[in-house]
Amino acid sequence: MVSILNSIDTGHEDMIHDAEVDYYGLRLATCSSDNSVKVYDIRNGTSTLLDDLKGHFGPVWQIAWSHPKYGNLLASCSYDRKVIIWKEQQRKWAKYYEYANHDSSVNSVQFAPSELGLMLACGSSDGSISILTYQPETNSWDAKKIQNAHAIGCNAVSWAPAITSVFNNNETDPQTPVKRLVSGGCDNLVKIWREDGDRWVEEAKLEVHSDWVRDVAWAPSVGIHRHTIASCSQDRRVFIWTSTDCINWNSTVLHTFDDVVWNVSWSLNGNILAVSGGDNKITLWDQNSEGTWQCISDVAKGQGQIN
Amino acid sequence: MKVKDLERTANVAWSPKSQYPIYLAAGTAAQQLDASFNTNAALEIYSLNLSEPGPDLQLISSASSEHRFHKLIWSEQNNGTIVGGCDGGLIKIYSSSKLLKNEEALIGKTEKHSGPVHALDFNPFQANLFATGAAESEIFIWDLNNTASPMSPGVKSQPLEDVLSISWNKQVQHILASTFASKCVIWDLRKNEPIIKLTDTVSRIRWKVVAWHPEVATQLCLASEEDHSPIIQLWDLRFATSPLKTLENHQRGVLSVTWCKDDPDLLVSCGKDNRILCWNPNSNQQNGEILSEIANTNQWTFDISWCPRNPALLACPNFDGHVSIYSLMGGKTQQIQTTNKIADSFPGMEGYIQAPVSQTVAVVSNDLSKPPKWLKKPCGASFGFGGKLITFEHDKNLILNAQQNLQPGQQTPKISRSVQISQVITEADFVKKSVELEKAVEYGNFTEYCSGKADSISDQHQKYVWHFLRAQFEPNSRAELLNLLGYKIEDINNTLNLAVGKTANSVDQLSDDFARLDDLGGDPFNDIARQNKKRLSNFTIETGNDDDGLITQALLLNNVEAAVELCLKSKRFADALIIATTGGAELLAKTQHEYLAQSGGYISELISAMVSEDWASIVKNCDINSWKEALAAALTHSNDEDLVKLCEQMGNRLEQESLPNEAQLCYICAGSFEKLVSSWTEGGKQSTQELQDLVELVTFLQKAVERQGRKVKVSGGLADLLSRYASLLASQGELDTAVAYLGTSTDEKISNLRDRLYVSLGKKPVFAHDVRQQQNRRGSSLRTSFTNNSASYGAPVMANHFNSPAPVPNQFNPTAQQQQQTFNTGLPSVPPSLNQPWQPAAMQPPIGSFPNQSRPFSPAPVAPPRPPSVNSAQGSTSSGLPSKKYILDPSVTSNQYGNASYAPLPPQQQQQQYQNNFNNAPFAPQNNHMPPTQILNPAAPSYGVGGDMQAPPIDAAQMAGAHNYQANAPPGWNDPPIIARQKAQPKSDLGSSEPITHPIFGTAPSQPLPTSNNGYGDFAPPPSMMSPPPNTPYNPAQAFQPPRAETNAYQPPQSFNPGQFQQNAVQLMGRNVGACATPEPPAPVQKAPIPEEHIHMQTVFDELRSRCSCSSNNAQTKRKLEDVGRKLEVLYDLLRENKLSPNTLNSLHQLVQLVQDGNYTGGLALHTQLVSGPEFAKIAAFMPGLKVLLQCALTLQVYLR
Repeated sequence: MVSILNSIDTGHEDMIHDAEVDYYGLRLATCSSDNSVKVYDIRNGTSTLLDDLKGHFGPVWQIAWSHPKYGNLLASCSYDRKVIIWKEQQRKWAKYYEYANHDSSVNSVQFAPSELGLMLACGSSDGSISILTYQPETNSWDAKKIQNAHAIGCNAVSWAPAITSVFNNNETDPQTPVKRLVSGGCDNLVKIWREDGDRWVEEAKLEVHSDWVRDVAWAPSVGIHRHTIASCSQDRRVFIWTSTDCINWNSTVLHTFDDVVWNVSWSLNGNILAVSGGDNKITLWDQNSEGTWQCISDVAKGQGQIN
Repeated sequence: MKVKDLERTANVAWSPKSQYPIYLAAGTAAQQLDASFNTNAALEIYSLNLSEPGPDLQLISSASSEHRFHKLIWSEQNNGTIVGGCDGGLIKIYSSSKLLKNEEALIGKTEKHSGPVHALDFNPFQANLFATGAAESEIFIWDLNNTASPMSPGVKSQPLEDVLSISWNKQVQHILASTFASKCVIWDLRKNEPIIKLTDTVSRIRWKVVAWHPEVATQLCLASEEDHSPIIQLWDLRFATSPLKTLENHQRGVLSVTWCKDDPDLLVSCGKDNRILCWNPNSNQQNGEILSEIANTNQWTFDISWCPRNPALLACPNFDGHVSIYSLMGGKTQQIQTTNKIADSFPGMEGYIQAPVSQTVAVVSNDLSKPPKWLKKPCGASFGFGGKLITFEHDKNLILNAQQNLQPGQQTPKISRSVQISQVITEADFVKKSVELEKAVEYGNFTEYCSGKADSISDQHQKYVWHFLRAQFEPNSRAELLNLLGYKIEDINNTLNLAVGKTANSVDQLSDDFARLDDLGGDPFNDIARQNKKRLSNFTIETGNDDDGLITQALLLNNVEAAVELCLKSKRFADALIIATTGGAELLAKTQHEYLAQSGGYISELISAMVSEDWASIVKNCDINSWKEALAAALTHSNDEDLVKLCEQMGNRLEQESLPNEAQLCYICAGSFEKLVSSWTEGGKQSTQELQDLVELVTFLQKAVERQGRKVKVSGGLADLLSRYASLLASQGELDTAVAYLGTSTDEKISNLRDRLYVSLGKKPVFAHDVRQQQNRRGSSLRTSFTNNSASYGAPVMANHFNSPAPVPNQFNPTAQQQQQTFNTGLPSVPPSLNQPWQPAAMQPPIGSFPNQSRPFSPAPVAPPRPPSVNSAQGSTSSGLPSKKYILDPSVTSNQYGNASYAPLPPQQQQQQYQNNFNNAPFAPQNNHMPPTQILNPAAPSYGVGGDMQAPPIDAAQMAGAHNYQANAPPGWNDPPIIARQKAQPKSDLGSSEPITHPIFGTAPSQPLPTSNNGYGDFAPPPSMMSPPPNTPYNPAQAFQPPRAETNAYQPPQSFNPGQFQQNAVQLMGRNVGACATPEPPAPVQKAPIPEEHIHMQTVFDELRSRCSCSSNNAQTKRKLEDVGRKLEVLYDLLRENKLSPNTLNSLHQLVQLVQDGNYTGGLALHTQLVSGPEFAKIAAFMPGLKVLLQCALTLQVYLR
């Protein structure tokens, strides 16, 4: 059952590009081509506009909430080449940090799993990926950049869940989770990156899409030491990648859709994948007991039946 | 941004959209010669090679040609067909698939045309059709399937001219546009005639290229190559008398124009002014809106072709001998080294000329000022906690309708753009079952439920499992378990009795027997001995040297030991044992042991175990198939404690022997969840059904164990299981049920989840932690974190608290321990009423009650209300909102140190202590530890009311706290500085120009300090206003109503605001004054806001500076810019203080305007003028900075857009 609980008229003056709820599901942030980010209170089916964040000078593509243990932080990235980290104080949001070291549109921002510290990955059309790390000692942000991660542009980044496992290849301190992320870009590639000392190395290059990779999503782990990634592309296909060592990946086509696939998103338990296509179709997928992926629901305007 | 470069003077064509990977066909351009006067020509295919970082394209194949090309086109027809137009009316047709395989690829040619064939286009709907145009107004339509007889679209247009370009309509397949120098003719192939001729009689125009609108069928763009009117006109065939609009920006004739198929708002043109421009042809801006200047080359770019598959890419052949591929997406221009090649051509020059150090070209960002359509994600979905799905979509039709109904002059109607929040329930069954389970547990009819369950299950093992579980709930659970193991006591006793020859067949009789046995009294062995004695009458006693004789002798002399020994030797075990009974327990035991050691067999093992009460050896050593028997024995003989161990041991063995089912039964008998769970979950990932079953099992077992009066500890595997189960429930939106399963465990995973659930349910306020604090708190050792962090926040405050029972706030927080595990911090910092106005429902009384609470403090005469101040850079705001009044700083301190230092105390104990203390009414103001009392007070009623709160792991230190604490604390914390600070209480603040009521100091938590100090006799009594009159509203009942019964027990101290605190702390630190005890806080080092009318100035200068900084790689420049930053700060300060004359301000604003226009030279001139003006002295401090900034911007070519 997919049943609509609440429909929120955002009041955005142009297309909405992302909508995310916070850790507790109490607040919703949306961002739009009207250059603004809006934050709503959505508890108990209400929708009260809390703040309208203006600071970008171009369409805002994506937003990300930090884990509450780092405070109420919201990151947004925009066509104006900037990443802004907003911080809530006294109910109002203010710019907390601005990162302007990309040469083109910043298309994706994601906070790292909270276990890794306060970190943010940003993927840009300039082809590079920035990893910002908050340094509590100096109260500053340190930026590392993966140059030329994707020729003519990186469209999406997603962090691997923090798992301390035998597979983490971290000999020095097996208890520290390895920092990994996956990215997808206009070179049709999906790449896996791992932090190695003070730099980021390409750990795997997944070559199967025949057009721009629009989105990638690393599934949250639920106690199993197996990694799963979903990638979707302009080529209308969604792939599911699995691996135990993050180096060798097996892929299966989830489905070939009727239109460009823009977005893939895992449920918090990592068992359901939501796929959104250019034809405004949102479908939900899960794995049956035989391990094959099946579509369990078509969601139209927020409603649908589970098959 | 240039991404690739091909060193050819060539006409190019992209592979069609369906082709992957993307190729580029390049045919040597006609009418061009390179420096070697080489007349060879070729058609080559290159791979785009995007994954390689360098600029080179990879040559895939090449076919030499006798002819050079004026134009190339590529269609997907017949696995790829490339058509080239050459001189002399020649058209060459290649198969691209053959070409890629390096086979003979030329599949056809025709010379029907006359003159050079400049115009070629494939029909976008029928890939086999293409149109060509050449000299003398000749236009042909060809079918690739039959190239022998081309079709003409109609009568040649007069006068006869060269056809310069040709293009099919993108919407209607039989419409074709062709350009001649003086006109554009549109043909309708169905009618076989031109339907319209576009001519512009007003301007002197030479049309070169035509491009159709990709979506609107009637619109097209025409570009003029005439240098005097280098324009592009947008025409609509419906209003064909004059162009709709004219795009003017090229300085010389336009050579090519192309309209993006994927975004009609993008049109790219190139001209003889060497520029490539990207326009938005649909903009209403005068003369057209330029989105980007893609490139400015050294030579003419003579054509542009838009990659059909990757709309970000453009191929631009240039007369400088290169084909450049540009990306519209911006980014840094890659340095393409041409210098080496020149050097290569002139060997021997290396010594003379140093290759120029790869100069960093200032990054001219040439991405589009508006994003292309393909970046605009139209729809998406994401999941939120609790199985929420957030979706949004872009309803094109809605927007189209809105636009179509738009009346001229009317505002675009507001389109509602909404986000849907939905609940996803994928496991309806699962939810139903868990609700049933919850009910069953609630009603408590466990036995019935279990047997019902067992009956309904077909799986044999599961049946067993449930019966075993049921047995656990029976009053005589062991008997039930034995029964289940196949040992029904009555039946067995009957059998035994039969075997023994008794007739008894009922328990009664059996017990009678036992009673009789008791009647006989004494040791059964004695009895036997007695009987034996009776039988032996009239005998002679032999005392020979044989075994018997020796035994006799020994008996006669009462050498019992020797007698026993001898009996054993002669295998007269019965005799030995009987004799041993007379020799004391030790001897008996020894004899038994001896006997058992000598006799073999399992029975003796059993006897041995029974005698020695060592059932572990049975469990350890029995054959694995006898597990039932071993278990039965354990059930019969061992006490509760041992039983658990024995069952677990048995289970372990069974597991090792791969008998997991049996092992599980053992674990059920033992009531060991953890083992049960781990044995169950061993198969890896489970289905929700299995998970449900297991949780059901565990829940019941838990109940059974609780019923038997044992403690249930939730940790490890069980905690894992429960948190997984609860999170699955949560993912179905069943948050309440999920909470119920989590219980009160302090396991980290569970408490994290519970916390999330509580907040999500609105039963607990959101945690908001300051980033810095959080991060700092991650410091591992207490001591180090204290010292390290003291600089950044709160040290003085904390130091004070260390000497007092300040950690008390911790005690309010029943979940403090858990939270510390979770987030490493104790307290929620924001009370719902203050920071979450959107949750009015959750907060009922507190709003009213807060003022009460603060009343005693607020009137502090020395602490005038603080004016609103500007946020500091880090956003560690402290505004003058009244909410601040309630900020309780000690909570932080206690979070950080209190928790840690008290952590060693087991929660259980703490709780007890707490309750003791609580019950002992420590609130009496006379109490030595008054401060904690006060802190506690607000919370106290909550505890009373919030009875259903789980037992809070309350901090024990509380009352006895001060002592405990000091004992525990590292010595440094009790250091004298506190005293010093106390004494150094600076009253100077009072006179400070910016009087500030520091919320921290206006609140209860600050109280403990003086008073507690008092308690220790270290300090003089603090100002009276600080020591709360015992009978004032401190009384919790009056001052503070518990906000909400069930959860709010720990809420009061939540009003702490980390940012505030931090800032204060920093200030305190800076002054090296522990002003905590006083209500008058130091003035913050905050700056007043820049007047609104000047903020713009700051924005512009800062922006320019940061951009310069970004685009410069030179360390020296960066340093300069840093210096500029400092100078700018001076300027801002002057602005703040309004110290600049209107004249200067005016000039500065002019300067800002010039900067925005990118007119740095003008800016510098103005600068000079200002500096030489009369006010130099006032502005000297910052003007040099501005100069450097302008110079940098100029050299780096940084422009604000």
